[in-house]
This record gives sequence, C-alpha cells and structure tokens, in this order.
Amino acid sequence: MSSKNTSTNKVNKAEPRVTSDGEPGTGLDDHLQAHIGGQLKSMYDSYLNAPIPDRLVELLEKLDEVSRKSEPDETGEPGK
Amino acid sequence: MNPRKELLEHIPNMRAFAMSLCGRADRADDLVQDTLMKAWTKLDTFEPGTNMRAWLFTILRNAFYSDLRKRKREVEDADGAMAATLATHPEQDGHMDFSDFRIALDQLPPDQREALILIGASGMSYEEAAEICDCAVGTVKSRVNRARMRLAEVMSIDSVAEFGPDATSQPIVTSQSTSRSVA
Repeated sequence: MSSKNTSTNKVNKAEPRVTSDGEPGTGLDDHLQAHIGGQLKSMYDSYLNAPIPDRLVELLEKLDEVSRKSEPDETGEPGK
Repeated sequence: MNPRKELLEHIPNMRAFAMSLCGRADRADDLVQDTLMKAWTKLDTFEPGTNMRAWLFTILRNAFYSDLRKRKREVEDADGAMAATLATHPEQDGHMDFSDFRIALDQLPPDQREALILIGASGMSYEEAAEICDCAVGTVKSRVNRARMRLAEVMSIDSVAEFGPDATSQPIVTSQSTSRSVA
C-alpha cells in the first residue's frame, strides 16, 4: 500500500477547444475560422465553376485573329 | 503552346479572383477583359515556363486597383446623391446564397480581402501572393490574419443577430407561455 496516487487521475481531460456556446475567445474562434475558411472556398469555387461569358471567349478569338493578320510571317518559321 | 488557348484556360480562375475581389459579375468581367487585352499586348514579356496564373493575377489586381481609384475619384467629384446611387448599386446584383459572407467580405479593406482570397481560396502560396500584391511575405501574412480576425468579428455579430435569444425564444414563448417552472 505504498501507492497513494491511484484513483485520483480520473479528471485529467482538459478539453481545450470545446466551447459549444457563443463564448468569445477560445473555442469559438477555431470553429468560426473553419466556417470562414469553408465559406470563402465555396464562394470562390462557385465563381470558378460558373460558365465563361461568350464575350471573353470572343475577345480572345478576335485578338488572335488580329495578331495573325499583323504577323503573316509566322506560319512557316522554324523555331529554335 | 498557343497563347490564346493558354489564356483561355486561365479565364475561370481570373473570373473567380475578380468576382471575389469586387463581388459583381459585370465589373468582374470588365476586369477580366481588361486583363486579357493587357496580357495579350504584354505576352512577349511573359517568361514561358513561369507561373502564368500569377502573372495574370498581377495584371488583374492592378486593373482592379486603378479601377477602384477611378471610381473613388468619380464619387468624390460628384455630390452625395451620386455617391448614394453608387453605394446602393451592388445590392441589386446579389444572387448568391452566401450573401452574409459576401457582405462581411466586402467590409474588409481591399488589401486584406485580396490577401485572404489569394491565400485562403485561390491556392496561391504566400510567396506568390507577395509577388502579386507587390509586398513582403510578412505583410501578406499579417493582412490575412487581420482579415480573418475582422471577418470573425463581423460574422459572430451576425450570427448573434440571426440566432440570438430573441429569435429562438420567441416560438417557445408563444407556444407554451403559461407554464412557469422557475421560481
């Protein structure tokens, strides 16, 4: 019976990030930051997956056309 | 690679960046168009093999700021009535369901918003973001941190307003208001 430290170590679970209610400060920040990160990404992704407006595609086609006409020597040039 | 094809591939990312910055489709498309034209004329200054997306983002970002300065001048030149119509305009365009987040994002200063978008959504590294924003890596980091803190502030206030005691207690009070167990 030398050990006197049995059965006293029940309560050693410190829960650092669990604050379910709106306590400003510790746990809410992590939760909120994760929420903010998720919102930001889903917003960006929804923009990313939106269809490209025709005018932008047409613009590139026009630019391409114009530069082809202005540089007629581009066709058969041996590249390095 | 055909530059037209390559630029074409970057359009979705350019639009996403532009939309995230300004929040309006018409302005975002103007920015992308502006960027495409500038990129096209400067294409010979682009080093093949380097990061074209970062290069395009830099051009777009600069276009965004010069547009912002121009708008600011216009608002300052005009009187209050003009400024008021400009201020109410964006709301007509609100079409998405994360509008609360969008509103919060729009409250950030542009430099913080930009840093947050680049790091938190576009997948750019801190180094790339620093190059795009023409500032030090440490500056990007502190802008991102401030942006996150500010958003957390704004959004926690919002959620209190939305899900606060008034909103939740009301149905309880109206359904069974007579039972009082608390002495």
